[in-house]
Amino acid sequence: MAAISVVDARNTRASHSMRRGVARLLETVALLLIIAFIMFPIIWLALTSFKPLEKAYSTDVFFTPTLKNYEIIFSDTTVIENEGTDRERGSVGRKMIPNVINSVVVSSATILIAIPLATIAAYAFSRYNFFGNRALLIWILTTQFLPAIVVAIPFFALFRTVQVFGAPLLGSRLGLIIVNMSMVLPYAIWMIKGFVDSLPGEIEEAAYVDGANDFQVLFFVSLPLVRPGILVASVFAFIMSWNEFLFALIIGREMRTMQVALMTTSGVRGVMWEQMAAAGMVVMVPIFFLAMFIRKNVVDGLTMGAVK
Amino acid sequence: MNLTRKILCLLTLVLFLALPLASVSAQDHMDPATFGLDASKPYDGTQLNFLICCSTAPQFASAAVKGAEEFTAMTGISVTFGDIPFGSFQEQLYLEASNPNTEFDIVAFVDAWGTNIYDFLYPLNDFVADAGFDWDDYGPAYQSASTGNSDTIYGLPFRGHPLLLFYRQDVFDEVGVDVPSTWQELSDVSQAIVDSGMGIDPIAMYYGVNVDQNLFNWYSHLWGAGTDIFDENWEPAFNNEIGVAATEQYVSYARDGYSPEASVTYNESEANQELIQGRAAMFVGWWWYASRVFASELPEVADNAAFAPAPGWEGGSAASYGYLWPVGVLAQSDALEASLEYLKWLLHPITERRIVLDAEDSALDTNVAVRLSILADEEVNAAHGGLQGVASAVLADARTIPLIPEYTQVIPILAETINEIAIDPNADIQGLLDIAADDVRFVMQSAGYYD
Amino acid sequence: MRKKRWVPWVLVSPALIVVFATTVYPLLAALYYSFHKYDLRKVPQFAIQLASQPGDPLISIDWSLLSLRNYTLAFSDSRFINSLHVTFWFTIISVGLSVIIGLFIAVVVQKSGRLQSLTKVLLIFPFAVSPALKGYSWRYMLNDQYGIYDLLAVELIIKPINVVIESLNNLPLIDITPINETVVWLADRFWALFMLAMSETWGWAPLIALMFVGALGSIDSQIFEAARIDGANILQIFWRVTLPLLRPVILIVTMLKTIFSLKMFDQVVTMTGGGPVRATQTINYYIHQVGFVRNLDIGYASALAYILVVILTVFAALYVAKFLNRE
Repeated sequence: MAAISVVDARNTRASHSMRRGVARLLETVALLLIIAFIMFPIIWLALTSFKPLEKAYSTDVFFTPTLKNYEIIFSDTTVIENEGTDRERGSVGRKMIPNVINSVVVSSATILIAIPLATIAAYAFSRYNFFGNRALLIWILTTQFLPAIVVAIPFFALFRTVQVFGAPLLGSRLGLIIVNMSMVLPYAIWMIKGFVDSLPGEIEEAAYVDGANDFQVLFFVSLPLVRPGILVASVFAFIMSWNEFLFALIIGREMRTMQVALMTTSGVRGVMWEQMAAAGMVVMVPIFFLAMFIRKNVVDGLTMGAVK
Repeated sequence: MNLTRKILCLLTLVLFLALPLASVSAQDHMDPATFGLDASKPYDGTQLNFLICCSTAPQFASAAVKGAEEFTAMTGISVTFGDIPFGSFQEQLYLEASNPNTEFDIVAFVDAWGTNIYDFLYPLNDFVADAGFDWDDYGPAYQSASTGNSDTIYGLPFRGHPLLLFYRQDVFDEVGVDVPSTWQELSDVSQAIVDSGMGIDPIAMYYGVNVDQNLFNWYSHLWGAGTDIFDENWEPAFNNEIGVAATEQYVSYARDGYSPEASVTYNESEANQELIQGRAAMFVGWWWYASRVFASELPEVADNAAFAPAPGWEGGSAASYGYLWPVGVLAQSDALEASLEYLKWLLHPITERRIVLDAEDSALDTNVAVRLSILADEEVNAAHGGLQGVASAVLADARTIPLIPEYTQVIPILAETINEIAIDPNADIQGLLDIAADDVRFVMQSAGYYD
Repeated sequence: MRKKRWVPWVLVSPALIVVFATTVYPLLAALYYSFHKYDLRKVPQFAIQLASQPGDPLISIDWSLLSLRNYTLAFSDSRFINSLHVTFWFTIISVGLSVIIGLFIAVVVQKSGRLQSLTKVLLIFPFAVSPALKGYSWRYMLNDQYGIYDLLAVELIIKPINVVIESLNNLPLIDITPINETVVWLADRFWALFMLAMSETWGWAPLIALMFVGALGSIDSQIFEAARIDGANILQIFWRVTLPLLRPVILIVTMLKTIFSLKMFDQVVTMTGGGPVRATQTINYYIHQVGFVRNLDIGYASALAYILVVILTVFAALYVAKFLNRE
């Protein structure tokens, strides 16, 4: 009896460890597949951006890397490729530096306006119990579900007739910044409110006891504490406006941000993939760094804390 | 700013001093009187804005951007170009035209889009009469595209394109076929190329729906076979028996496997790439593609590419679409006179001839000209291997599309239907064209054409 | 408590005014436009001082005309109906794939391990890629001649399947048509829509996985341990333990993703252009076409946008209700 059960136990242990080995192998394969699924398009785009034109129209992974594509997208003159060969080719520069500036200016200005407004509002929503507090917050939440097109159409109609400092708002950075508010501000209010909520109230109470008024408490006690949260919200808001496409297309128009400038890589060859890839890297790489910074907060940010 | 102006003045001075030394033709260029320009520079310092598409494309860059300083030197009027990519140009055109405060004075536009902005364009009839413009130097297709088939001249022919057949002479020689002059012959030639086993696609068509370019060759089939988009009562006519036969022939290149499978997604330039990259033996498209084709990286393409008139219909006509970019002046421009001065120079035969003969900068090399006199010019033809001669033969039969504002709504209906028919080898052509006809009729009815 | 009652109002009003101006104003204006004909080819109404006379045909809005025409037109517009279908299927496919793949990723990376934590870090990357760029890069990779995804799909999936099919066809009574190896993904109605949804899934599934990982992390690991001791295998644990525990999160994520899917626009522009035929014209894309490219009728576009708002309101209401429940 005893002997049998020992053998039994050994068998199960052996099959157990074998099963565990198979499971681990499967797990590793699954993980590698997942990594491939996630990273492949990014890596492929990065590769393409360094390919010479001929290689961009193939699946070759062996090539002499070149920076010509980046030169072409930023240059405002004709860039000569294959210099010194008998088949020299000139590619017209895509003049994307202004587009990068537009993207940076619009995204930065959007957060510079939205974040302070959102911060003080979020603080009030979190710390004060005033009439309509809850209802207003829910209303702000629902604005997030508005389709961008329904915001874009009336602003398009309005901006084509309104001038600021003699320049129409349609096709201006200012116009784009205004419209971006509809998307960024509600978001930022909810995010920052989440951070303020998580702060312990005792320090503020102590400040009140010491005789500070509401604004002193807000600016000298609470804001310094919630600064990391504000930074995260700013990064979020920056990414949102940077990646925004529909407003940039309809309201931004010829004041093209990089997202819309991607479309200008279309030409007589259809989409010029090697140039699109280079422009794509410019669009994508800065955001990677920012995204790493807010990695831990992405889930809360996207669901406004609904998934905890 | 000040420095630039000083340099400009200095340059002008140097040029004037150099004038007697320069050759006769150079003297022509610099003399305002040659272009009918006012030598007293009454509009000196005026700043004109020209709304133009794709200013990096040779056909526009060579015509408008290059040489603009020459005009500035003669008149003191400077011109800047609003460079809008093709994809968003239509939208921008409507916006600027309907904007009373637009900064733009001059616009270049696709014929079909012009119908929507006619109300905002300054009629050029008086200008044509006063400036001594030779209106008859433009072919009938370009004339109707400039006037929308009315008596008012809304724009003047600026860049215009007939359809040509580009083909690989070496492939034809090896297979032993002649250049097809009808679509039916083109099918036979295609079959011969397939049978030869050369492994090259006989023809690269473009049936994609993206920018509505799948209609260009369809029009040729339709008109060649003897029908039209509309009949005289603006009732759809493309779904009649002839229209169905024409459409069947048009999509047969995809169905018979002559055109690459992906051609159902191609636009014109993607199809053109098939020829340029040596994967297809024929391509029917606008003649400005010539410079792209002959500049192919592949010697076998660059050295063996040839061109012929676009095919016609067997037993029918060789009517095809003469695609025009007219240039017009916005009525709300506060620099009307200066704009007209600019048109005098821009559209002058001397300017047009210079553009098409200038081979100095390969990035700006273009074969595009619109005047019959330039198309017939021997020197021009010699410089481009007779391209302009072939083009004028095509243009003699060319026509334009229905120039009514509603047509921009009709185009997507037709383009989607053609795409639908091309995609599905078993598509019911009659049935789908009938549905399209109903949709078109709905557009026309809403616009009051049947009241 | 020294807090003053007027203070919160001072603090919230700047933000409230901006949110109000940038969301309520357009909603009201669009509602107004939706009952009118607003022709983009005409002069905007605020600029009539430059047009000749009031009532001039060049003025874009006819103020007097107030009708339901745009709404009745919408439901007889086969292209709009088509866009409803496309959006419906796009939503089903993209939400389904995102949640399922997200779940799969979450379950795999949830355990501790070096490769697992690396993957968790990488999950953030697709989120950082803008939708417009996603569309372009997928279109590039799906090209039938030089697309890497096309190559991989044909070599690694279609060809092996065809080998199996061919060997099956050698058996009597079996005749299966092999899969077309030269498939042009974006030329096929189904595949184009599917790939559009895949490009969206690529961006969202990793994020959704992150959400699930967060939710799984907050579940007491003893529950899994107990199930394992009871002899449950991986699948049983997944079905009996993980899934029921994740149910509330899955519900919220599904609703959230549904709302985003219904608003699909960017990739349609950069990846498929609405084609082939009309197979990928989502509601948002069609509205843009109507307003700015084809009909140039801002009134009609507004009416269609309003229909989309109504659809979204239903989902938003569900979401908010759920949200309130959880708090």
